[in-house]
Amino acid sequence: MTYKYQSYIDALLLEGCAMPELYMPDGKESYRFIFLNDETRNHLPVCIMNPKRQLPGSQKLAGYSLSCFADGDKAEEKYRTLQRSFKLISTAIGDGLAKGNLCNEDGAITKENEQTSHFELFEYTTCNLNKTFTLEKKLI
Amino acid sequence: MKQIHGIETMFDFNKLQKCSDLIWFDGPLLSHYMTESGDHYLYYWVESDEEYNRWMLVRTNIIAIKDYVQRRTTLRKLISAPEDGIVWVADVDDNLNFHHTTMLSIAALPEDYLPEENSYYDGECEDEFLTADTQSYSLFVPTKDKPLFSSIIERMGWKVGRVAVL
Repeated sequence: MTYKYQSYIDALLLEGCAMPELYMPDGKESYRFIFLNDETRNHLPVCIMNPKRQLPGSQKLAGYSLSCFADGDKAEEKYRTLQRSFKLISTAIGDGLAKGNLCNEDGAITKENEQTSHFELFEYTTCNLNKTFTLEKKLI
Repeated sequence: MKQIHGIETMFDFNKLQKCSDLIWFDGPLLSHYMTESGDHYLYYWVESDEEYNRWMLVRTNIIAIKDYVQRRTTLRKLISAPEDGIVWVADVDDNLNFHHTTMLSIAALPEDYLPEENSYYDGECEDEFLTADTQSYSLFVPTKDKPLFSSIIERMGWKVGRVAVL
């Protein structure tokens, strides 16, 4: 299967970046931050969305994947932590928490962090999380 | 974007070399940069709109950064105590062009541009130097001896880039 942002990923691989170990999601329950009032900004990797949040030298493969959490409470905890350091974080990552199940046709995922439940999704070309993820909770 | 009141100015952002991202969530939020002469800067993300991401640039020092990463102090204290008493704010577009670069004092910043009082580090620091138990020293080395000094430091397994060679 081809990743949705394959050409960008290939360019970074050529520069020496290495893909992380990836697994099939097998229907994994997942949570993501979304923008409540602008669906067009949802489920876009940071290096694809406009404007891109980047700095000189900050290009990483993770810029073409989507942050997910396996645990909704831990996702909200992360949001609150980010809010303490970046009061306007909602303008960058959204103001709602959405829930959905990732199937093997959506893409491949990294290993889940045991403490935070965070993992990354590298989407396949046919993946469209706007169709499968629904609002679970408003965060603001 | 929030209105800020400072002095529009120029800043040579090209002189900054990236050391590491201190906080990354779907992209950088707080990143450590250095100049060739050993000055330490933090890019601190503050806000975004449809066109730009706004970043604050703060000159700080390595001890303050280590204290923050090792949770001895907060991001608010780190950001609020720049070496120069001032910060720069710039709007960065998709092509990494810097616009509206403005110099202003910490007191002139909107409250929303400062972290909360309990903003202790919660990232995954990729820079082992910042998390390791280390001691810093100030050394004065003649500029002409920088290559020799750097090679000695590297042979010891330490990082040259973390030492300001005057």
